Amino acid sequence: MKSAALVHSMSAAIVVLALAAWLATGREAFTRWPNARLEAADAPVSESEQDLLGEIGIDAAPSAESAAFESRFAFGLVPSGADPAHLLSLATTIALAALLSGGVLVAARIRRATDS
Amino acid sequence: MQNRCSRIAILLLSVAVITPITASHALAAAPPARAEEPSVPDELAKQGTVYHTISGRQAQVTFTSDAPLQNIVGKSNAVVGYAVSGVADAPAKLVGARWVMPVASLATGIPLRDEHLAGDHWLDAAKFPTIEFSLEKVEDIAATKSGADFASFTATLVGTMEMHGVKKPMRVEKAKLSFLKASERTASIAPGDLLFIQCTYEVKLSDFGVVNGDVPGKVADAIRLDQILRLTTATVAPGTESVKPAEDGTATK
Repeated sequence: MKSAALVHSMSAAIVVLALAAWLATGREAFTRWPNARLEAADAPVSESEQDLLGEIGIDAAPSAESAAFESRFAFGLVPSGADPAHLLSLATTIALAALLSGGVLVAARIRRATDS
Repeated sequence: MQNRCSRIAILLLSVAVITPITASHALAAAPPARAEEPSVPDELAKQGTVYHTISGRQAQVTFTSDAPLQNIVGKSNAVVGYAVSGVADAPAKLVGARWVMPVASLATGIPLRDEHLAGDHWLDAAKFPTIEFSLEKVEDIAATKSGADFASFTATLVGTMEMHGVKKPMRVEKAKLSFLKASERTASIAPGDLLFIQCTYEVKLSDFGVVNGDVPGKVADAIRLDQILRLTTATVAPGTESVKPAEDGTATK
């Protein structure tokens, strides 16, 4: 019985921690990880290059109106892909915690049924 | 029974802890989406100066889908390819050019969306791993600016785009082309003479056989593309982002 209570407590703690992680990392819809390629794509053009491009008539930031991508970790509400790293999310963590507690409850029920 | 519960709990917790750790390692080890630079045909190389596209830096292609339900912006900095300039007094009359962009290099900031984009319901990267543009001719050339070490032009690039296994003729109007002689200022960008090509144009997904129920509600059929390509006469090592000066030390032919 003590173990079951421990498992339920752990499940609750996991959910609380996951919720805290989601809130602390910006309440994003999807999980994200730092991405070197996106960082490079959004790297600002150096001042000297910008001057040079301006001089020759090239707009250094043709897509300036498009938002730069954030290259950082965010614990998302739902998974952002099939890649294992992107499966991590508040939803999957809650599912995992529910599985944990559910497994204990089912095991207890089976035990009671076999005892009786 | 208590032991069994404890074992289940420990097992599930281990999975919960180990999965993200191993997954993040797997992610770090995943090779970035790249394509090999197409080789320049000898007959083209003989006709002018060969410029190689510098990839792996700032976004070269930015696509925007402006649909009623959502806006999607994606970028790629993995475009590789070459352009061969025309004769010295008409460099903008390119004698040839070809660019290749790996579909898997397109990033929208949401990995799940990137997976969908490269999936078989959209661009189908497994079957058609690259999007290519081959230049056939340059029209409507007009000089716009020039200086001691540069010359800028606007022009219409006429060629063929291949996407999703479909080839379509394409005209890219009002493209800007700027040729710069190697100097101290250009060296901070790359060694060698430089060529910048900037253009904005639209492609229709339906023209390339990309048909999906999310078009036009969530994804626009007409996708706007903003491109800025930096090219250099220095050689670009295949599959890398490094640039080195041409072996003969000269920038032009």
